[in-house]
Amino acid sequence: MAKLCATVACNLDSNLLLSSLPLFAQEKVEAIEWSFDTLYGFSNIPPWFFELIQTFSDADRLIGHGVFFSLFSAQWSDDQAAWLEDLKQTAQKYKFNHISEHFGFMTGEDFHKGAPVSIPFNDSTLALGRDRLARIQDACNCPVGLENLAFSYALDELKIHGEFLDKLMEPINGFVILDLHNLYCQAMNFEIPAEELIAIYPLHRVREIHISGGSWEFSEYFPDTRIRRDTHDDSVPEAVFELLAYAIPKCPELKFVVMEQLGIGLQSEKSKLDFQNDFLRMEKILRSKETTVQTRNSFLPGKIRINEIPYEDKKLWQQQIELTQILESAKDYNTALKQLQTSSLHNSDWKVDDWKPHMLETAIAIAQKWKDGFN
Amino acid sequence: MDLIPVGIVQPVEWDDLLIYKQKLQKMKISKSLLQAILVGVTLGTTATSCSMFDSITGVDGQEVTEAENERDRRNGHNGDTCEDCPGCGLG
Repeated sequence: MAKLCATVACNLDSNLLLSSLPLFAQEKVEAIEWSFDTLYGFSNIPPWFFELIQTFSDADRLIGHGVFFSLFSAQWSDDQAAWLEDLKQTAQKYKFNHISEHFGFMTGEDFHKGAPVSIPFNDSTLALGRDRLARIQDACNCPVGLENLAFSYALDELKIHGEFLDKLMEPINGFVILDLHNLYCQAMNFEIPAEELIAIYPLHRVREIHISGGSWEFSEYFPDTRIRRDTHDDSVPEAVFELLAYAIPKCPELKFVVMEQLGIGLQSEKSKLDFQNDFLRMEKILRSKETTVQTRNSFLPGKIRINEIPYEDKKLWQQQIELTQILESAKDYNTALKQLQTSSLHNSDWKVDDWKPHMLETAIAIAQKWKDGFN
Repeated sequence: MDLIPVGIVQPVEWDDLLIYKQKLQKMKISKSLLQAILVGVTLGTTATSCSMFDSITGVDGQEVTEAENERDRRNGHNGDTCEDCPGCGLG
């Protein structure tokens, strides 16, 4: 691997920026990851924020991380077309070392509301994902990657997630973000060793690693079960640091390691200090693991073909609408379960009968948490 | 220790090369930018909103148009908060 960049997920968030400032001043932050599609809620953007972005862009230390594209929405939307156009313009203005998005489709009727949940892994979703990834690559003209999801409905689905990601990225020679807190969530929720889970991912495609914190939630219906959620509102758990040290030597193309945290978890002075200490600890791990061996994959595609008409799957789209409605409106787990069993998702590739009850409960919680967006 | 820039043909120990590369790796941000961020976010936090930015012109000195504000309203945002930006953590 080449020199690893200690990176912070940096967005227009007061507490996040206040927490990061001492790290910037000490020149500890070697790159920033900017969620370029999250400024929609601001009437005016302070000029210093763009100056910060420009500074890292000029040094080729800027990476982009989209949130709202909804890669696997089965019907093409005007919002997605506008998102691509915005990305194209942003990528002309700033130099991104690479761009990434999230796996899954976003629940929620509004483009900026909802949360990402998984999809069936079949030929149609493979074609859908490849179509959208090619469009993103065409818009930004730099390496494109996808992040592993923190949420799965069932263990069998989780076990083939890595293989599916590999197939998805193949045509655009894309990369994978290995989010170690997402992996930790999956390991905890399905009671499987995290080291075993890492092995299912295409590690030769990992160009970026994420670490972050999250929260535990007790199941309302299964009292002995607690669920790990990727809420990014707490410091990085010890287990995730251990996973980082374990994973780095297994990812020969690794370039950026990013610490993510939401400002909501950085309100107290203690939490800000914890954030800085977590970043310094991450940096120390990077320095101890990196080698002088250079990366080999440019993660740029050869010539890619983009169909004039975006791929769509009407049946899948109806199922996504149905699932969103169930998750966002169900008053409890039992209601959602009954609705799923009489829905078009039943006896389909969604395999709803295999869904772990506590994960359905979690899907309801995630969808209802974000159905009104970040207001 | 003075290190020899990469590209000059002289024997360099691997450890020295690593240290040199780490020095190259550092990202320096100007003091004026750091101060601007500090002032911006401190005032923003004190006011618990970013409404102070409303009086500042947008990117490249352009005023944000009413159409953009209308788009924000349509998306359900009033543009007056810089807390909890949705960069990540939708779990």
